[in-house]
Amino acid sequence: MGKQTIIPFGPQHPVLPEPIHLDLVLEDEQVLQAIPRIGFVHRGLEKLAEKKDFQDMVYVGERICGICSFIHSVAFCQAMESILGIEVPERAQSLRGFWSELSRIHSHWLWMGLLADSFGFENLFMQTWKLRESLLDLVEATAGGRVIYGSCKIGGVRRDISLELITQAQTTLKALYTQHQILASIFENDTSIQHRTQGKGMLSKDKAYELGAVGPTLRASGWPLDARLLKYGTYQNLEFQPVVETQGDCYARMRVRIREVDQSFDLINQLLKKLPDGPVETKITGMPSGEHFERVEQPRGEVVHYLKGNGSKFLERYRVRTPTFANLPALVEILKGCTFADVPIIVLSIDPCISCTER
Amino acid sequence: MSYFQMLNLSIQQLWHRPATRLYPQEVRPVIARSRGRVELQPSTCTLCLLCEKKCPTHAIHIDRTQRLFTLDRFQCILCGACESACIAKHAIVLSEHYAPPQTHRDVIIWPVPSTPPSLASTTKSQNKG
Ligand code: SF4
Ligand code: SF4
Repeated sequence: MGKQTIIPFGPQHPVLPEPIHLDLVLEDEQVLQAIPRIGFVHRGLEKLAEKKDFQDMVYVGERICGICSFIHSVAFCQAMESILGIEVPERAQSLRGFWSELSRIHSHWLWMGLLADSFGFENLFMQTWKLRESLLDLVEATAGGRVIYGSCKIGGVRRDISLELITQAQTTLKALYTQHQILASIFENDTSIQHRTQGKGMLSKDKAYELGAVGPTLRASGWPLDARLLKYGTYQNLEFQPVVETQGDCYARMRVRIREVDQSFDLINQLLKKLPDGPVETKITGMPSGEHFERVEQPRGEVVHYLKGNGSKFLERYRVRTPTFANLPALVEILKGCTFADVPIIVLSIDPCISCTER
Repeated sequence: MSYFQMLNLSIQQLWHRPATRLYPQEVRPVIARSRGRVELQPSTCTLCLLCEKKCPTHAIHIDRTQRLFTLDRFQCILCGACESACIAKHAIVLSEHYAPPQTHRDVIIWPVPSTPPSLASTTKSQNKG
């Protein structure tokens, strides 16, 4: 048996956009064990719910994460609407779906760029982020913000989009889709990418389920589980099948995300074609009393928002279980046995979002 | 095979303009409907306090006796709650132009005229520490 060394990895590391610390127990080049430590960016957002008006909490909920911001606010609003017994107009639900899918696409492009960056493919990284930039402009033109959309509110959405904007969005998305196909083909067929990702970080089907992985990490191991299948909001009117891969390695996780971008383009097309007319918001009546457990699909997987109201304007309890938190046990498992040089790619392959995790 | 795809993409890029802008010379066009900064039209404001009540970050302070409307841009999160609260009077709106960067923290004070209305607007520096 060789000598064991502990190498600290993170919280500051070139491939990590956010702070997570891993103590890697190495024997020669091989990782025997990884001990994660989080808690560098804890902000105590859940506690804030006890002192903030429940209508203002939407803004806080949206700021849990800077990438899947919009879907966090959708989850919070849907949970609140269930407690208050509010019916959301159909147009508002469709618009929520539209922005959710846009944020899924931009999140996956962000991740694809970071993946290319993690193995030093700077050119591809720039090309991917160039695409993402055009999408962010579209988001700004429709929602008003690039990262924080600020469009979701309890009872509906804040702003409607005109027919002209919808046509503009369709044209932009069509062009982006064509460019995505070129990038997707490079990501899937490039031999250097295949060499760095295939067979790395294997997560078997049983292990993925046992460790409670969610999102693309789970689907890349062969489980067709997607919270959008619960048919919340606008998804009850849309046709889709979850994207599934069976190999369970980094390459499979990459392919799931690439094909989910295709799927999101398709979903946006479907919902823009049959965008219903009507109001985009309803009035909020009463104070929240009761509890609700909302499951929503984010780019990284299923997020759970638990809300408990006590009849006053302040919530009694607010709890968020984010997808990265659920994927951490799987990460620790797949790091076992890999070589040290593969650690950055494997860590990135679950698409870690640490600010989400620590709230 | 895919080496050529990537090469193709890179070579095409040679005949295109850069995707980035040379910032100070070339300014990004303003996107309509973007939430850039909060602007007040003092002539239409009635100091009804609705926006101050609705602001989630307490960025707005209204002094009714001295008729002063104070906005702290550093606290404002551009949520638009004030704009929807004031929807009948359109005195406070979100303009699509971004607020310029500032080197120190100060607030913007708009004196709100009673009658006759004038479009006076001043910025006063208040060091908040
Ligand atoms: S800006 Fe509008 S809401 Fe605010 S005090 Fe003036 S009139 Fe009232
Ligand atoms: S945009 Fe929002 S945060 Fe800014 S002043 Fe208006 S209500 Fe306050």
